[in-house]
Amino acid sequence: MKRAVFLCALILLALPLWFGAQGAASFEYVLSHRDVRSVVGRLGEELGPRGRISVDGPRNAVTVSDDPERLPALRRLLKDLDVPARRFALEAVLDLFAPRGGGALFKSPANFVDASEWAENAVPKASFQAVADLEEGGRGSAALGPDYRLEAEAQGYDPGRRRLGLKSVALVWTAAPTPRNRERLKGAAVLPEGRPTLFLLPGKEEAPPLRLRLTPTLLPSAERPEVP
Amino acid sequence: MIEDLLRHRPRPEGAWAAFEGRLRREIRRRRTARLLSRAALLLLAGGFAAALRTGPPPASPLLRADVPSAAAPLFTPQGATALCPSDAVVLLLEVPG
Repeated sequence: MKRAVFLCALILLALPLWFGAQGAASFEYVLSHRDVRSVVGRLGEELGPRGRISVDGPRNAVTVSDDPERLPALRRLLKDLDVPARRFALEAVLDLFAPRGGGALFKSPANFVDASEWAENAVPKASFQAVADLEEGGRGSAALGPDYRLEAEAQGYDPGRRRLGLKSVALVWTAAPTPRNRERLKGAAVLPEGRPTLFLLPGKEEAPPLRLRLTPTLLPSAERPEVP
Repeated sequence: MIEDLLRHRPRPEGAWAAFEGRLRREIRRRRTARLLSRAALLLLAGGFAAALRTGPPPASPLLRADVPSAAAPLFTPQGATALCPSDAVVLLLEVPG
């Protein structure tokens, strides 16, 4: 009697799972170049409402279940992500502006910048250009004139959206009179590949206003001689 | 244990119920022990199969380079109090062309 009740309960529990699994397909992908943890987040963003991901850490594999029509795109994304570390040329252009009294370079209030006006009309006092060589998961730096240095650590690249994640990016003012102003910019960034991104830094105390333009460019490799 | 119980089966009729209870308990204990040993064997076999399936670790270290999320902000200042004081603005824009 007890066994019969137990079996009935088991069937009742299994029925919704069985019906839920109807229509969903799945595939397994073993990654050979990347840690499975580094792609799971991005993969999860492409899943449908019924999609599921299960990760097998020791085998560095991921099993994706979703509607059959979504699976080819998911497989393609995994294939695009699972490649050896890509290399990038991070082009940096630093424009130095003369400090103006009362921060007139920026409109009031102080926390508002008319970026388009400034980007188009402001004429820099000095300009420096450099290129840092970066590899996914690696670091790079480049001197920008005698007084500034750009330091960056690359993270992953999303080939679908063509965006490079920088785990850290810092603009160091090596000639800063006080250590407090040494790092003019420090943080993590996500930059579009092949397009410039501007960082506008207002002057403060003895530090002049700066405009930093960063452009990461994906470099070709033996495996990918043609870069899209 | 069951054999012992049977060997020393009580002769007085009043003790028969107690004897039967002891017998039932012993049978239940043996059944549970048999089930547990089977479950342990199954687990062991499953673990062994999983270990065989896992295989050796990859030869070269795998790259841990997190792909940026679609929702990731363009810039996240670190040490905001020291590096981005309230009067400073860090603004990003994409310049077309």
